[in-house]
Amino acid sequence: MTIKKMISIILVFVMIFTLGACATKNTNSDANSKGESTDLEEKVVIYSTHGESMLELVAEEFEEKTGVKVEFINLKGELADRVRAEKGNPQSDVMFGGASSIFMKLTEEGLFEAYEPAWGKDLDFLYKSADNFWFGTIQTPVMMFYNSDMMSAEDAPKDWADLSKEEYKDQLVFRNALSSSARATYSSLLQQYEKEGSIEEGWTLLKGIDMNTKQYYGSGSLMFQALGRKEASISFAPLNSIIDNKIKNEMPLEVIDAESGSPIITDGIALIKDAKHPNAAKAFIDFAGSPEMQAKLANEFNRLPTHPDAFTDSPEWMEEIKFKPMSVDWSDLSSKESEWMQKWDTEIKDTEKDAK
Amino acid sequence: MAFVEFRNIKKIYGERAVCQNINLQINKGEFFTFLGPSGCGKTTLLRLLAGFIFPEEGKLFLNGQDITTLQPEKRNVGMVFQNYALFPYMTVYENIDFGLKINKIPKKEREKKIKEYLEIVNLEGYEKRSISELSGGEQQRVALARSLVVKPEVLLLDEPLSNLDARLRDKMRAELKDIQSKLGITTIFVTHDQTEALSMSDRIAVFNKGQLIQIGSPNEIYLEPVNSFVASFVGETNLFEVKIVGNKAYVTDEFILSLPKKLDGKFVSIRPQDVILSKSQPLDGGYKGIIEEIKYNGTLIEYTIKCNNIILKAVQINNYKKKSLISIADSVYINIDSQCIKVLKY
Amino acid sequence: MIDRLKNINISKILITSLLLWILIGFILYPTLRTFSVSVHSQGDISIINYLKVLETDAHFTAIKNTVVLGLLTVLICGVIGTALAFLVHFFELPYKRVIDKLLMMPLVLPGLIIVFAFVQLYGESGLITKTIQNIFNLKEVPFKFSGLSGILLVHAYTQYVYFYMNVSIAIKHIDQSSLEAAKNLGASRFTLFKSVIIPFIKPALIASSIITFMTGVGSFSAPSIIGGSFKVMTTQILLAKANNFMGLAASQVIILTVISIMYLVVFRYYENKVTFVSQVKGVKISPIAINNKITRNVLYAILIILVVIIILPILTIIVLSFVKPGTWMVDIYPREFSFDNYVKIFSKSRAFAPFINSIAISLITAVSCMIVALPSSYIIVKAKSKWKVFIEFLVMLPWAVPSSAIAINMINAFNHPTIFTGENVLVGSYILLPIAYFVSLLPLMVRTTTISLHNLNDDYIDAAKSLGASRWKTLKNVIVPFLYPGLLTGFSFVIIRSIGEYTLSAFLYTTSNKPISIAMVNGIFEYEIGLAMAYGALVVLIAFVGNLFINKIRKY
Repeated sequence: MTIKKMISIILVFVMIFTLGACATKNTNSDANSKGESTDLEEKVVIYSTHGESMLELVAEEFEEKTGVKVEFINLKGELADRVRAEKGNPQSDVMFGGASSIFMKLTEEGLFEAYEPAWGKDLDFLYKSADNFWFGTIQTPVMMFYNSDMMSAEDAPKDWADLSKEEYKDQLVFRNALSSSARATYSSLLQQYEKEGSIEEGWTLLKGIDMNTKQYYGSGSLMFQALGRKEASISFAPLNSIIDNKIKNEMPLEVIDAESGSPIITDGIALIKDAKHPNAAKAFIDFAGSPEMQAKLANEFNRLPTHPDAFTDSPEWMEEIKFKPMSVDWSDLSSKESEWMQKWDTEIKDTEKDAK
Repeated sequence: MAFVEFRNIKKIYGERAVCQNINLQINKGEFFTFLGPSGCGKTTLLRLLAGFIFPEEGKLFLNGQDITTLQPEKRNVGMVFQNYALFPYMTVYENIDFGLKINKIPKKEREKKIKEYLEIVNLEGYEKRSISELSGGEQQRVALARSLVVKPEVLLLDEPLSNLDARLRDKMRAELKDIQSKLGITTIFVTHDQTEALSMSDRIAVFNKGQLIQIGSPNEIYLEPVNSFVASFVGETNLFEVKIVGNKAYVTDEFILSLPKKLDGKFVSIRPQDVILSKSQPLDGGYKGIIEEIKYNGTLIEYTIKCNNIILKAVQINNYKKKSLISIADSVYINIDSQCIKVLKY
Repeated sequence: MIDRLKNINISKILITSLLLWILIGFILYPTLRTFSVSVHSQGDISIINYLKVLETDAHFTAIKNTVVLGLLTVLICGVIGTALAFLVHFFELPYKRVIDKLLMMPLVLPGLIIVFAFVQLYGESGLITKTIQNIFNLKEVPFKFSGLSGILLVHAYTQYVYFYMNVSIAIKHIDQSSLEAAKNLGASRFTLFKSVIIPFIKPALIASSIITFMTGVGSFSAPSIIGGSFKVMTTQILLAKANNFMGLAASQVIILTVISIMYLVVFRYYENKVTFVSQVKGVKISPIAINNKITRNVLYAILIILVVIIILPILTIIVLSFVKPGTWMVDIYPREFSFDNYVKIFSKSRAFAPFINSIAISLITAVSCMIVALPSSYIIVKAKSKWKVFIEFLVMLPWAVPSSAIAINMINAFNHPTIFTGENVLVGSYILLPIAYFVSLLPLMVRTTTISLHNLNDDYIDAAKSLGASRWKTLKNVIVPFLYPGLLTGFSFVIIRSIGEYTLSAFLYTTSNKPISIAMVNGIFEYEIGLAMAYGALVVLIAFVGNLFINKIRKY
């Protein structure tokens, strides 16, 4: 190793660090200088909870249409956390996906910028924020289901409260508290009891369910794999996952229409405050939630749309949905979810179960 | 009866026989030396006796008992290794204590013994020292004490002095001999240094290439070597291949030695101290030679002389009275008494 | 002449200052920030976060569990690693070199990949589990791969190597003549083992236990994926962070770090006490042949089983990477195979990017580690700087800090502008992940260079100087060649560690630097187990190739 080599390595190192520092500086000044122009920037950065294949579809179509490069990562349950941590220097432009309760919370924390996309007007007020900070693009019902090879319809539970019955011991598998759909579901259940002023009963129910739970999974696919291999028989998951596994992977699953209803999570989209590529971000929001895109996602991925126009091009069963929705006050839930989930994870979920 | 006996011992490594046909008997209380060049098999014999290796053929006896197949820890044989092999993580006390503990000797007695043997090896008060603090000589004495304290029937010393400097070596030779005779313990000493062997031993066994060449007292080995190897290995000598006709030994046609009588042989050996030099021609004639080299050795002066194309070594005592007048390039006359010439068959 | 003096001092001062800047900015400051966050609540200084941790059952259990996990890991890995070291190096064994190389393999495999492979093999519907169940017609699964036992299984697999390596080296250095001397004094086999062999390997045992404990308590992949209800601090920290309870997360980070450091300090002290220098040339032992045929065959059988167990997860990863996407949700044994997964990785840029990212980040990390480690080691070992102790402390501090803690420290330190980063916010930027890797792996590199430097006798430097070599020439021709093997070893270790790293990545990655480990986990999430395994297989491949390459270069 000659001295020359060592010096050149040092130079490379210095260059890399400087570049890294400059890059961050540049993009900062970029955003500032381009503040007023309406040209689309060359790229847009998306943080999401949606799966890779769905994101790829949306990204590719957007890239084709506008020539803007889409960079995305799906952070799943850690999405809100990441957006929060980057408050001082946001790296993302759009938050795409995640329950409305989370969007409400982050709006309160001042992480979004208000922007109404063209399709926003036609949305039911249930699916958007009052002051245009976020809009729902997908309805995600979370429903109970069971492996019909292991259990008949009569033996299957009829309602959430049934899950704590003794006959279902070791038959349940669920997602853990890092999954946003699980958080929303557990919190919705608790809220049902809180509304009546008897939240303690809610905790008791959750404890009872925990006793019957064989294992918690951090990964949806491992959980479905467990069900497929008959390690357990009952679970809950977003409807689209259930349909996916039922059709694509040919698993013998049946959905349960809960008597007290199933929570419907609205997946939202929002513009990040101080985003580095605001114009491209707005264009993306316009694109991703448009009725055309919603219909496409409905057909390819079984995601229920929020826009009334999208239903005409969506699979028939979506219009005829006959399951009972659970009545949930998402905005109230958003302020309590963190605390409830921390308590759930530390005090309720405690026997041999977690896996990712 | 012999105290230690090697009977028909043969040891093979791979294709090579490192020891062949070894028959040896050592008496009780003897200081017995195995002498020979590197690779002659002397250390192998020691290790065979200690039990670290086993012979392919033959038997070993100790105090009448057949120990050939006995495991090393069951033999009552004490060994001091060339590198002392002290346990580096123990103190002096703990090292010596090791064997005693194994013999389940009660603590008070062990303490007494350790103190006693430290005195014997002249290391009083060294109990708490750590091994890394000790000099070479001190380590060697601890190793000795460690082996002796468990009262082995025979003590094996594997070139114990080779790692010491010259002065220390002399001192230790004396001490070793002293301890050995005081305790009366049968000792086998391995060395390649013939001075050591000659000065310390009761008897010596000379080995070469895995074979036992000669056994005898130091005097016997020195004065009556059985062959040219022993003659040249033990002590300096002038060794010549000769043709014997009658009672004359022809080294070359110009250098002829007179033998005391008609003898048979191929070699002659003449010790340097028996080559007499003088400035003036001796009465019974003698060869004339030139001094090529002079080495002062303190007590002795060594001369290398070229005489009729033969190189000879001579030695004189550097006595005050006999102040030598010989210098390099001088001419001198050589006189060799025929009685001093040793004729060897091979 | 005065100019020359000035030059020497200036370069020395410059380098030391730069070093201190980097070390303080990226190691000390983040740790202090986390500490500060942990002792603040609602804007005031308070210890309420710590109290919460100690008083809440779940959190306190997590602390207990973490310590228990660490100690059990040490015990199990100690037994396995030491036994293997003896089996392979103390006794005579056929194919010794091959087996030795095989036994070192788990070192190059990232923990995350092992966990997934294990789940596929030993999980409830795993290949091995079901096979055993079928063969023996059992009604229930023969064993449960989750919770403490599951984590320990993964730890045993990945960490026995430290003990194996260190004890093997110690065994090779046992002085044969010490053994013979002991036998000569009458020692039975048991006494030999207890009084001669054990003292020789004690320092190796202690050093290995330190590394193993710290890796055990900082372990994240296994507990988070299969730990089940066995809560440990690393997963609790992630949870607190996800719920945005940063104070809680910070306090747990500090507690975890303290536990780690305490073990280190106690056992380092102990290690120094039992380390001895063997003077006088010892004789290396030659392996002992096992003469009892039955014992020998039993031991060989055990060894073969062990080798199979070790290779199995790697084979699993490779085989599973060829499973056709979406086909393995119901059956126990996969049925359809294809190259689809690999095609996807290499043809779709989004799939290929993580591959490139990991390689790029590994290289950046390794180079930065080398550049910082060199002057640091030099100052620690050779130079007489007054900053010596401080620098050594800073450079080794991350070693005692588990990865999740380092990640939290990074977030706390760099989610706002600081002077160390030129008033930039690093959270969300590309460079934060390599910096975190760098901090985490610097101690490893420094260790290897320091060891090499220790072996560099001052006499060599003096000899060079007496022959007229200038400072630079001495550096180039004497010091650097000496360090070369150590540097290369450190370099390759850092690369191998970085390629499969998961914990730091999970906390800190962003769109521009999504590494392979995240792609793997995402693959698992998206029902694409085959794809995840394909990524895994590639990581294993890179690690192997890297290892071979380094070994080849070493010969020169």
